[in-house]
Amino acid sequence: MAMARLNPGASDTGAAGQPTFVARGLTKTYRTDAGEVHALRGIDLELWPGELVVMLGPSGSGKSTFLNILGGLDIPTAGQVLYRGADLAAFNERARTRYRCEQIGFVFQFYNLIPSLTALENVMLATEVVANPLHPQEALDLVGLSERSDHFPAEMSGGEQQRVAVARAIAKRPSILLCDEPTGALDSNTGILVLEAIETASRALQTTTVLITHNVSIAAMGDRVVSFTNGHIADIRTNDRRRPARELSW
Amino acid sequence: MRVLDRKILRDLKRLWSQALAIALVTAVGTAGFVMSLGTIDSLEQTQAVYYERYRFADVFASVRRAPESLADKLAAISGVKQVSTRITHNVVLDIEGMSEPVNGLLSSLPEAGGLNQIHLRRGRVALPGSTQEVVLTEAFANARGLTLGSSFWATLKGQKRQLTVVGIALSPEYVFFGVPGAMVPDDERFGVLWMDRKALAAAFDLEGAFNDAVLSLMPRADEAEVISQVDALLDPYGGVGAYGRGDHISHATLSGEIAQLRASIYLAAPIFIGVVAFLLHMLMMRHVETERQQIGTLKAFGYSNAAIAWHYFKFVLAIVVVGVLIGLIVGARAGQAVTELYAAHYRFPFLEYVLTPNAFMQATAVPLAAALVGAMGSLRDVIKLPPAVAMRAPPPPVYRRTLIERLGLHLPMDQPTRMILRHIVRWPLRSMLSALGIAAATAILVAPLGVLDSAVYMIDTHFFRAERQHMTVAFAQTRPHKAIYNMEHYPGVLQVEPFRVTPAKIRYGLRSRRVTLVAREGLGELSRPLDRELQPMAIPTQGVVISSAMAQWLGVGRGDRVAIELLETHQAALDMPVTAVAESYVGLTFFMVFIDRNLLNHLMKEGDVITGTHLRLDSTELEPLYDHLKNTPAITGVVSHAASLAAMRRIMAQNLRMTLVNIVVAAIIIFGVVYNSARISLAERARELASMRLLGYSRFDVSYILLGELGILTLAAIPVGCSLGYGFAHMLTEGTANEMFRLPLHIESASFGYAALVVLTTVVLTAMVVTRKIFQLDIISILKTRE
Repeated sequence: MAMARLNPGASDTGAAGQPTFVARGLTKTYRTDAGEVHALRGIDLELWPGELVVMLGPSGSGKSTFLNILGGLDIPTAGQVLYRGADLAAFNERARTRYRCEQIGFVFQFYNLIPSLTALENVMLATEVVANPLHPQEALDLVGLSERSDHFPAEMSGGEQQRVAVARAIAKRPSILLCDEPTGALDSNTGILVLEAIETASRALQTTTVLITHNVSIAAMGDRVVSFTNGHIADIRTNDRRRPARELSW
Repeated sequence: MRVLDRKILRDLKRLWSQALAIALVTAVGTAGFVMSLGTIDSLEQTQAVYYERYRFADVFASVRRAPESLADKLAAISGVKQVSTRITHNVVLDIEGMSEPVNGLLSSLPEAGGLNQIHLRRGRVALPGSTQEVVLTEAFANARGLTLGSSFWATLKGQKRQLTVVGIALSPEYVFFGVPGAMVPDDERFGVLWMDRKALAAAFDLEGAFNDAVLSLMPRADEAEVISQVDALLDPYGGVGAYGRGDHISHATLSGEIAQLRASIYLAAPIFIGVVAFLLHMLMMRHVETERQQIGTLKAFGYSNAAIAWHYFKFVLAIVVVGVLIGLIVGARAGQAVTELYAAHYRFPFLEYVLTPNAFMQATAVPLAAALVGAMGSLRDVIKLPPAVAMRAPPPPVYRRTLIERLGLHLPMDQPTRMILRHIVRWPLRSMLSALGIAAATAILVAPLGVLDSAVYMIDTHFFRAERQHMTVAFAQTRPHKAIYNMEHYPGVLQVEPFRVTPAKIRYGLRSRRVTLVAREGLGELSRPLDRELQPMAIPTQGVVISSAMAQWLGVGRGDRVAIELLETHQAALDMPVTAVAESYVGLTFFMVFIDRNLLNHLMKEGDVITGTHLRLDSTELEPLYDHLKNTPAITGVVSHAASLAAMRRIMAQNLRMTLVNIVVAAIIIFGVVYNSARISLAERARELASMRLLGYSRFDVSYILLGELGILTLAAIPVGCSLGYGFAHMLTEGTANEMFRLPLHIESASFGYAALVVLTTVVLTAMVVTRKIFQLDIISILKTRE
């Protein structure tokens, strides 16, 4: 198996120096009534500041589990993930909460907006808990939703809601942006708008961005493409050039 | 078992904690109903059997001295079934080891087959002709440590005599009975002594005569008519007016207490239905909401609306039936225990514990009604839901800015607080009902505390403003006013205030009633009526002063003229103006009509006489005074106010213990309401809360959203509950008004505070349970499932 030893410095957006994440022998096993499920079977991977990594793979291939571990939502059974040299598995609940609060922006397939708050207020929900956030309006501007800031989720389309979710994720100025199937529930045109928002935001904030998708067409917008199969990394591919989201179609 | 029924069992298993909370509230309510209904039925039954078996009379009449031959004439009155004559006399007892004098009522033993039989608990009745043997009421014997063979002294018509206890007995006539002039029954200071009639007749010069008659009536006899004929017959012999069972203090008190118990059920039932219905409503609305797609699928399969609605109603029934069963079992057992307590308290010779099918049916019907009301909303939703719509996920709830925000007021608040407020406003009915549930529980706490406060206030007013004497002494007969100079020289007596009492009848329009005419002079220092502002009032030299209770009952006010018939004289009724109305809370004074002593003496064509005195005492010299009083034959009654106060306080302390039960009931209701509200909110908002956890909000921050809402609702509910409790207390104090006292509604702010504290504590404890659930939220699985 090709190891993730490629120097990301070669990528046009990559930065040299310390990697954001280093995963070594990362294993995750779930115990269920039906027996043990091996979600991850020894993942080795480094993720670098500023790069956008697209993760592909069928359902159950382990990519979401990997993302959840990166995001501090889950802990590995074996192996380790170092975030800027610190072992995530050693974090206690409080430290994990702080880590999520200060470093991570999440975007899920389902928008998970708070229905009782307007778009702007949903973003403020994120900005209120960190020290040096973006201005909430600025975050909405980045995703192209300045006009909709006073609308409640029930008054917006799915694509708009997802862009609010992106704005909410980046408003904290996270160093990492984790997106799990952000376009899974959207049609192609709307999905591209959301991807553009992620692209713009990640570039503006220089985040390490991980984007999980089933959709192979999206792979072209990443610096690297990691393919998961059955809990392993099957392949890591480096794109010569990141294609802007607006050039994608499916 | 059908598949759908299996689903009910699994749903119950899944929602067990909420279902259990509701079942518990149902159980508490059902148990309360069965217990109370069983207790009421049993007490009424026991009372009825007791009265019948011991031939408790219907009409009571006292007379100065009537020839025995008059008994036949009384028996001949139309509607009278049986007549028994007796000799009764108040005496002061001197019991060894007791310095203070004790009051006794001497009564001739009922003849065989006569009315008002006694129930011998121990020993035997006095032997015919025995001048020393007495049978004693059990309560008094127990309180005084007297037993068979004990002896003590009594002064009978100036002659000191040693009496020996040969029997201990109970009587339906003296279930509740106190020394005349005392406020509450006091077993330590008042006892009934039955003696051989011949011995009594000899002692009181009543051979061939009687001074007390009791009558039983035929079914459907006209009591008022009988009473007026009895009065007509006894009048020439110094009759002081007959009265019916309704005015008999023991019967009135006992029946009053049973009626009060019944009234409290009618107060509790609607609260209980409301709370259970609300809890079920919340649970079911949520349950149906989460099962929309299943409902759609069932409909698509061809299940009828009725079949699906029945399926969900069975779910409700399962919860309620569990609660009802627990409640019935616990309630029936508790009912027996409570009835036994009451029976012991009332000293019934036996107990007929009955649990009628009717009680079971009522106790079952009430929670079932609650189930129906509570399930209605969700069942309607089940029926209305078109299958095609049901199969789709529900649209997200539409929120709006709160009114204040729409008015353009910028509220400086963080997003979590905003979420709380908008959620409350988004579900106004549910928020309101949650708050109402907590308010009802608050009211359940406030009401009994308010009644107790009112009682304390009543005691305070009566003992420290109106009746401030340390002791009241009653004479056997009228004595000249100068007797007080004698009394002033008794040891320890600091102040003497004389009074004269005489029985009278007051009449206004069609209403008339036996009263005690109390004659005093001017503004008393020891004993005085109070005006509406509770300020002491001087007795006007003209007209009469009546109590507010009497004024209300007669429908008269100041300036109206009432007819006063002096029962100890043979003159026609006097037409007199009501010159003032006195505020009174204590039963004794309801039926007191105050008049100037000189005016009364003038009206009765007697000289300057009195029938008793109030005394202020030096507490260090009580012993010699007691000795003195016990050896004064002219004195037939001594009431110590300190003892009355102590007896009253004992009753209060017993009642205070009952509020502990209310605390438990209120706590269970609050737990049920708060826990269910929180769990349902948690289920509905799990996604929001998980999103926030993802954004980096801590578990405590997230808990704030859920618990903050409960906090706001609780804070809103407490003042509402306090007002509601005030209303309940008002109903209870009105319902409590009986022959013994009328409670003025007066709630201390500390009681509101105490209720609020109990509510807040319960809410906090419940919140802690819910917080655990919030801490256990599985963020990933929530956020990755479809909305």
